[in-house]
Amino acid sequence: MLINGRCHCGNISFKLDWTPAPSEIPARACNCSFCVKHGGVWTSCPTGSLEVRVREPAHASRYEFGTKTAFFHVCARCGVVPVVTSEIGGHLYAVVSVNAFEGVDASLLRRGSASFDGEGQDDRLARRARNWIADVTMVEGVP
Amino acid sequence: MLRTTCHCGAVTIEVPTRPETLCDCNCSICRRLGALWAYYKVDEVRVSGHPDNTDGYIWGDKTLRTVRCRTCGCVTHWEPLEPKADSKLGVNARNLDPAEIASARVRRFDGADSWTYLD
Repeated sequence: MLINGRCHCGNISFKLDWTPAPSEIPARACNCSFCVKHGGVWTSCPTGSLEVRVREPAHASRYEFGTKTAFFHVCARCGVVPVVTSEIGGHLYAVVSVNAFEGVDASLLRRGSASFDGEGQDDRLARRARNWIADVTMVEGVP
Repeated sequence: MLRTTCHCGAVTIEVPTRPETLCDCNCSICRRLGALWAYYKVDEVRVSGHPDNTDGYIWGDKTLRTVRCRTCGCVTHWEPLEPKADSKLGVNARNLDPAEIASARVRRFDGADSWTYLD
């Protein structure tokens, strides 16, 4: 199942090929300090592939905090955060924002919350390597 | 009075009262920003660090701008572009302590289509 998503102005967009096609899509409202303030709801398909396009990299910023092991990709035009990436052992992993989805049937979403309070950094990175999208391509500067 | 900040602390926002009602709008920008709006009169809200530490986004009929911290991207509020004496603005309640808004009624607004409340 191909899922398209984008920020509001279209500067940051993604195509997520969810393989095999999902019967439901987990939509996790994270309770970390950043996601609470952003209303962040994330999903990932570890066996899928993701292409992220940033049309104008000069108008995209990256924010990190805490363990500084993940980048939140913020569109510097419209303020939407469609993607989070984490580089682990030289490999790029990602989750995408359910809020940025386009045209996905809401009944497919299985909404829940996620709490990673107290998780150590090694466990955190191992969880991401296990659960986040592992096939990630970033394309920058292409219309 | 409630005082809160964006994630990095560069923008501070103060509102006079705990919101009783919040608006969860499904329009193309509100849903993407994950915002939850609490409405106040323009002169009731104090925002520091704005516009020095903020960026704004204006689109559509160009009557308002959503304002966010330039560093951490947290959306603090939307404000009318041409405020009048009784104009309102929307403070993004996501920045408030979740305990402060736990008892607020969340109303779902169909900004994407009918422009009416769905509840």
